[in-house]
Amino acid sequence: MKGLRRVLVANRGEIAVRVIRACRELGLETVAVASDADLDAPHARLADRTEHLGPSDPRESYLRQDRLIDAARRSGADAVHPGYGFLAESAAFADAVTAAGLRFVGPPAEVIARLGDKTAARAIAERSGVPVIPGFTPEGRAGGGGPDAFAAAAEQLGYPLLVKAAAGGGGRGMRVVERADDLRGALASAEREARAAFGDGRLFLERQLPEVRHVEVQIVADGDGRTAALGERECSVQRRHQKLIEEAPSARVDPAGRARLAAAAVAVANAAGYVNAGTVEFLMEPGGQFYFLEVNTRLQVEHPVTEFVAGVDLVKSQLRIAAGEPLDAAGIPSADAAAPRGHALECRVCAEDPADGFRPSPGPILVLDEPAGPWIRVDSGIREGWQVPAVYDSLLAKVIVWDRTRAGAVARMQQALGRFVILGCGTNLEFLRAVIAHEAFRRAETTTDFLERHFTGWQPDPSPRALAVAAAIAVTQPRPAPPAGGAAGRVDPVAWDPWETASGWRIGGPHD
Amino acid sequence: MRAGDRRVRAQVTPSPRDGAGAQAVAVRVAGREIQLRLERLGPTTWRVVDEQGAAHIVRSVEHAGVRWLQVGGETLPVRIGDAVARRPTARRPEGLEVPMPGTVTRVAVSEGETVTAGQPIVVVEAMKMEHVIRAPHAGRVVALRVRQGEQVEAGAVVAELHAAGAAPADATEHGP
Repeated sequence: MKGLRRVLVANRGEIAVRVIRACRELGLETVAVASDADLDAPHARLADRTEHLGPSDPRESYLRQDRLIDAARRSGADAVHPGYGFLAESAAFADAVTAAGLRFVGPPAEVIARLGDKTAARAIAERSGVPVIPGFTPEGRAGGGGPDAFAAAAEQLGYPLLVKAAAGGGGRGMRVVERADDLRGALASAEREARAAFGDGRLFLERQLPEVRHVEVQIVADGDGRTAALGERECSVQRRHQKLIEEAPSARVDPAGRARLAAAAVAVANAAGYVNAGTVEFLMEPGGQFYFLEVNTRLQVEHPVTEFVAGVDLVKSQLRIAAGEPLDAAGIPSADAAAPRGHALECRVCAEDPADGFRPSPGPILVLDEPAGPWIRVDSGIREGWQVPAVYDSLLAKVIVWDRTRAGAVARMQQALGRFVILGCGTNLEFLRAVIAHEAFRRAETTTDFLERHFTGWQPDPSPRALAVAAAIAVTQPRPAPPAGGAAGRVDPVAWDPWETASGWRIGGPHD
Repeated sequence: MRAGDRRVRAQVTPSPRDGAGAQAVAVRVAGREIQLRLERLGPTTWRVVDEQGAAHIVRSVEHAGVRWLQVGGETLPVRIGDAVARRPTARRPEGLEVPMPGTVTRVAVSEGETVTAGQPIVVVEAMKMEHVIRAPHAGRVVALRVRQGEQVEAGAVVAELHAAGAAPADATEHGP
């Protein structure tokens, strides 16, 4: 490829693995980067070479622009792929990469900056004739209009509403406000959080729309001003404003709606001067009316569902566009021709406990067996014998399936999740299986409050057979002696060893 | 044993191993009597034949007091004999544990401080998410075991809490 020979992947986990694979298929050499915790991680093992970045704390490794650029120089890379998260949407990083004479696999820095400011992005959408969620943005760059201006605007908008950070993302600096009494408190805490997370405390308001779906359009643009829309994804199944299950196409978007969404997405992209792959996000009401939400100037976690239904390798397209190739050479179907083929679903398998507020549950991967089969794809960043670090995102792997119909894809996903074995580290696999099996999910009655509505207070419900097998294996297998002395605040382990008795012992029995 | 938030009583009656190394086991659980035949195929792999004669491959491993299983599509971690091992007493201060490894981002109380039920004690961050460890009941913080910025392992005791008054410091389940 023209001018592209060796790519540094400035990320970790499943997305680094994904990018390395695409580079390989294009004949590009790959350089991984790894913190202390990741020196033996799958992405570091897979790459042609690995550059050590520094300590495990991401602020000292994956978020250090200087170290990433040094690593690129040292390894002779000529391009940098940022993946998603970390520095993927940092205009400063894109700028620094370019200034170092390297290609940034993503949009130009000024486009990232323009769209990264959510209020500026809203203004671009409005100017392009794309409906935006009714809201209020204070005048002036410095966050003018104090709490009084917000309160007056909130009365006009009506409650409930959302306080959002102009520099926001990932739910940070965002508050749901149900009543006028709570507005000032929410503004203060959102501003604090936004200032801490982004160094920018500017806020704006949006009306909270009830019963909406999260629908987003994949766009790809080349350097010659051609922009293609590759259909929509629906990502309404979310916890803590973070997506958990995604699909393409949306079961509630018809061809006419798809064309309207595509036109809106392309209009926003063109108005922003977009280049490379990106996603324009919308909220869609039951009647099909949609509103612009924001633009993600990077590859999305859920990009594989689009790859399945559009027949495109988005990462290879990103690399080809970064090398200066036009859309058709980058494998992007010509505009408007892209009717989705079949249906794809993605489940995010995370180290978290859905029965306890989705709290992280990092741990060792003692047994790993990933599902496989026709139209089952697993994008994974773990391996057996590896310790999942506690300092990074909880995403372990993504299971993506395709079938001709949504019902077929749901059945395939159910099977694939049931064959996914991860032991030693708590995961959300049981929860995902329960969601996929839920009637409302099968009927595609998915709005952004889906999990709150149907799964609040969810607890795993193991079958009697599974419990029987657990008890049988536990009791019949030789077991290491319990450690001497318990943790503080605990009574020492039992003095007798139930695993040495031959029969009749009741687990938990006499103590209930 | 404990599976999720449930406590389950199981009665296991194993028979001697047969010539092939397999073992018949009768388990009474959830009001049912289940006959299984277990054959260990590898360090983490079993073949389990149920009453209908259907064979299932079961993957299982034990780690840090938890037995992990994947059986017939289900993944479950169970704690065996938990009621025996976890029995806080009224007289001893109760150790507050972190449920996950992470970094202590905030210590919200000082030693000797009197706290109310639900009051935040320590905040731990892992995987970009904050977890607040709260007082399970009113009492006095008799010891703080961590400092801000410190890395902690799952199960580490971050603080010790003495229950207010003479009430047992037992927010979890009792033993006998």
